[in-house]
Amino acid sequence: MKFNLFKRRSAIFIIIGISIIALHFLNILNPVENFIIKISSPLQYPLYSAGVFIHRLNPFVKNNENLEQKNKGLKEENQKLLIENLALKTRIDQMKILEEQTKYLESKNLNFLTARIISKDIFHQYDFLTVDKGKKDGIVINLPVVVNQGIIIGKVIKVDEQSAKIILLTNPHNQTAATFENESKTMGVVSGDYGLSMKMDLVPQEKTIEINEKIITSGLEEFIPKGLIIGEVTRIEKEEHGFFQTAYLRSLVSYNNIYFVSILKTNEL
Amino acid sequence: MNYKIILKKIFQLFFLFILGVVQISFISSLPKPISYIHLPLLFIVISITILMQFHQALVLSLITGFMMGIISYQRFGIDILILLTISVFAHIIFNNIFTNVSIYSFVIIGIFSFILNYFMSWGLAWIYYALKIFPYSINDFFNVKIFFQYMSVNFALLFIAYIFYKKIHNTKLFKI
Repeated sequence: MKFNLFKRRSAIFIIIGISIIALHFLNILNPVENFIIKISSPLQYPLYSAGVFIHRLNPFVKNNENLEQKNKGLKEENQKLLIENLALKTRIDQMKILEEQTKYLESKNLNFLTARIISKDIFHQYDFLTVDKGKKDGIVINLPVVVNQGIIIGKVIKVDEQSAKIILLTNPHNQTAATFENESKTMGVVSGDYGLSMKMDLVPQEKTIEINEKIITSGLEEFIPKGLIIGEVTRIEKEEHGFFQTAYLRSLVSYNNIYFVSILKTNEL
Repeated sequence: MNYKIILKKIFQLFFLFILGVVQISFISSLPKPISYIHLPLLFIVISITILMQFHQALVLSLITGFMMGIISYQRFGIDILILLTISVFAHIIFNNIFTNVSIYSFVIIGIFSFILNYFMSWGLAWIYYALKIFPYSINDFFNVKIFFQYMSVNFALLFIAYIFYKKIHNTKLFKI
């Protein structure tokens, strides 16, 4: 009797689960999903910000350990002040970055849209971000996503009514046509390097690459204007008899400390 | 239906909704390996072994799996299927092998659930890739470091939950 109840319950829930999945792929659940995202995004943003804040708290913990050794009596007071300071600094940083970002894009007369990151999807080594702007705001697939003063961090890969998914440049499956700051034509392709950094492949052997040289978008792709900063060179790998060389890059911003992004809706920079 | 029962159901649904939001927005933005914490999975293990609420574990699987699916990129359904499968198998193991809340049943069901989640997420991702739903192949299948970090962080939380439960019930901690 008990076993039958277990079987019946399991079967009912599995059928409901499969039905939900089927309805999702038939796009029938879209209104429900959009509604859930709409009501949950005001809650998601502060939670995401809290997570990023804790991420930034790490160096503070290390500093505090040193202070504890020097002066135990000041530990509690110092800790309180540091947390308060960090919270305020985080808020000021957020506002500053957003202001700088907006100023820069406005000075270039670019058509852009500011979006808040509401969640991060970690799946194996692939990082995707979700932002609170979607189809209703005019977002389309492949639009570039930038932060600070024109630093590209990824591209839009999926758009829903109320939200959009962004693939980061550090994702190994992301490919962006790139060039060097002083070059005019495409010099290579930038892709993610195991979700940690980036690498620029297909760079001709004869090109002399400098460490710390800036890499920018080449403007070859639709929607992605030339001149967006991708990162700077940290290491170069050359094969003796090969045609190409590989430059390893690091981004100029930490992808873990981003709260706002700007989605460019223009082709020219 | 009594209004208290309706209120209780609404509260439970709200809790599951919040649990899903916390997992996708808060836990995932924390530094690694803390971001490997899988709250819905921990609650499923607790529901089955401590609370003995199989029905609750199934509802939890559906709602949090749905929430995680909405926010993920092109892998809607993977979380629902994994959580439902884990609920069913954990319940079968608990009822047929252990039957009581001991440290052994808790540990074994916990480890079983975490391992099943890790391997099913890889297997289903490959199926989604083969069906051209998820566009990227999963090359980083078994990373020993990530696997052990994932197991350790979830197991530590599960163990804390067990100690907490034993403290509340004021029973012998390591009952066999």
